[in-house]
Amino acid sequence: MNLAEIQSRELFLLSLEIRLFWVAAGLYLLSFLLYLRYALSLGKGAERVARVTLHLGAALHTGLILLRAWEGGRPPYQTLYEALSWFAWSAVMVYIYVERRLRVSFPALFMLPIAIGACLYALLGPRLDPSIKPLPPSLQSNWYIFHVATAFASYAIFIVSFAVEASYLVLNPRIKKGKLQGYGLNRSNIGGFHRVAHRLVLFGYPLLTFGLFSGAMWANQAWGRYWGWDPKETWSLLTWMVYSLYLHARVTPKWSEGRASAVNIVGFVAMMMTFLGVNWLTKLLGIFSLHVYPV
Amino acid sequence: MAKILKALSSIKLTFLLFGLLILAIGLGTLFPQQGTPEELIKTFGKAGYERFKALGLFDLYHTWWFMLLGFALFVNLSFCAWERLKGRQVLVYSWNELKRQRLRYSSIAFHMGFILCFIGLLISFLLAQEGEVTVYTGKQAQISIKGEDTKLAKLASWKIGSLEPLAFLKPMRNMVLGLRLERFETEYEWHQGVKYPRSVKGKLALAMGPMTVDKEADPYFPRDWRSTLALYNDGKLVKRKTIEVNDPVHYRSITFYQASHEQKLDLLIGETGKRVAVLSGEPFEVPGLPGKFKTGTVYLGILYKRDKTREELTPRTTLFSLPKEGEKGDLGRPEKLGELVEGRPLKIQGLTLTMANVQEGSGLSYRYDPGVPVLWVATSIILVGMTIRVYGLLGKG
Repeated sequence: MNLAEIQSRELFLLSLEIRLFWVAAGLYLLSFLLYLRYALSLGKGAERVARVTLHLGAALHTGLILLRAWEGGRPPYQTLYEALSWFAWSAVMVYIYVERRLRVSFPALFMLPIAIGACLYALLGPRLDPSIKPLPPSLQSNWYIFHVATAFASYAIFIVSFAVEASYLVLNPRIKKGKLQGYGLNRSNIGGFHRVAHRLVLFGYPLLTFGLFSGAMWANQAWGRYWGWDPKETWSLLTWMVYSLYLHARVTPKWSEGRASAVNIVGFVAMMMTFLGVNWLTKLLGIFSLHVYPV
Repeated sequence: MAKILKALSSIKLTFLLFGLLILAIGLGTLFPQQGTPEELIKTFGKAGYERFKALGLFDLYHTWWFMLLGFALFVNLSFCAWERLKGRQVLVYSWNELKRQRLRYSSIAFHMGFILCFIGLLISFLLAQEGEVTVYTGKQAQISIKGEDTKLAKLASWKIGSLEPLAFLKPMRNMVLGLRLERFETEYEWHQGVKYPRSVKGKLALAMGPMTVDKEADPYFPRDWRSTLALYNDGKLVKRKTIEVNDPVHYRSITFYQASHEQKLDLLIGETGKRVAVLSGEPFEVPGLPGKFKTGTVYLGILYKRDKTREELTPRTTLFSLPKEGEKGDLGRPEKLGELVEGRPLKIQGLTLTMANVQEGSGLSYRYDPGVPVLWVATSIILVGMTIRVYGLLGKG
């Protein structure tokens, strides 16, 4: 292939990918609306269709991730566009797994808006460019794969943990009043939400720790300093500390219920700050950072 | 005493310290750290600058109270670990016993790993030194790691009257290393991205309609910088390695990193025989022409193309004229004057300029940090211990 043909092929694939990404985001939105309908009216049919729609969206999104990985010759999480797509996809995949285990659909109402928001931000964000870029020298490292993959895996798990925890916080008072019996929820099984949220954090926490340490190792290898108090590094440490606090809270009698739930929610907020908020914070305050995505 | 020990090993104290550290760390991201006074005064005003500076908010992570918080957490962790080990058999000689109590031991191990982490950080804090050096191809430079420059040396020279109670903390020996840049290579990758619309409307239109976008003009995407370095100790060659970003060279706890690169060139003016020495990216003047100028990056080395072919680049760069100081309007945006290619004259306002003698220098950073090995051991203990502990707990249901 000559250069003109290569460019024409790349442009065609990019155009196809963007359109299919819109379809995947649309399927997530439809799925959310159907889950909402189920939650409001106990329509079992709506729940089934919502699940199928979500699986379709996830399958399409998986295809897009694979296409981009194939085209770029690397895992697709270099630019903010790619990172947002990966973020939404990994959260949806973890949720699908958890939903199969939990057999309850309420957490979708908290997880899907985050996934849809990430997709729409990727597609419509003012400074986001979907073209596949080569890796700059600083990212040409095996750490790039492990560090980012583990960090994103932990993010996805924490999002679903947040969704399950938030469902617990919303549903628990209603169940105590004897409501929501039709959904198969009662006083004895609602505690399962709280336990699942905890188990998810237990699973995600070592991944976040690995992400943090591998980032330090990588920085040491690339720049000669393992820690620089960069805003992104600092917020990732802060997120790790909040989740450490959560895990300790869960085994402390006075803290293990409501307070632990609150710390889990704070952990989620800190995680979102680490991933996205820091980009805005550094821009707003004019603080230099080596790690943030341009927004 | 028992009460103090109980308080020091309590999880309540851990909560408190974690909470305070979270607040302090969060606060540190709201203020620019280690900025220049001029920049900070511009942002916060003179009064605000003085107030925040007094609280240490512009160098928060090095304030005494932040370090005290970190130290308190170290003490708390140590006492927690001690409390859990106290009165128990620490060493296990039976595999079955270890397997039976793996969750307890892994928990203790990773908490001990954090304590070791603090020790590694302390070693870094007391002994680490770093610096930067630029060397041009074929030239030599020297770096020195001086024991008297470390924080440990400052600590050792602390006096109470004429007494030096910490004098036993003798600073390490000085070390001088010579380095020679034998070769420097730059590589570019041909990448022509697309000018994607920035507005929501443009993006929606692109998703619905045909994909018609312009290609970006600059196809040179930096792929790699490589320096072949020779290290000399006492005049003897001790190491030679080609380094690149993410692949540094180590010698006796000193590591050299590929950090940046510099380029310099000569501009020959007409046929006068005059030449101007230019550092790429820096302003310069040309006799006979008004105003100031600068060049962009000089592209030279190897260009890898998308059709799998490669090209040896003839050095080329862009020449810009800089706006006059104090001029209003488009201040700071240089005006593109033309393309300078080595050996090919460029005519500017009737004067011909020719680029010649392009040289590249390697920007290296170096660091001496004996705390790093300790940190890597600590990290391994933490990760292994945590994995066994947490996933073991999950397995237990």
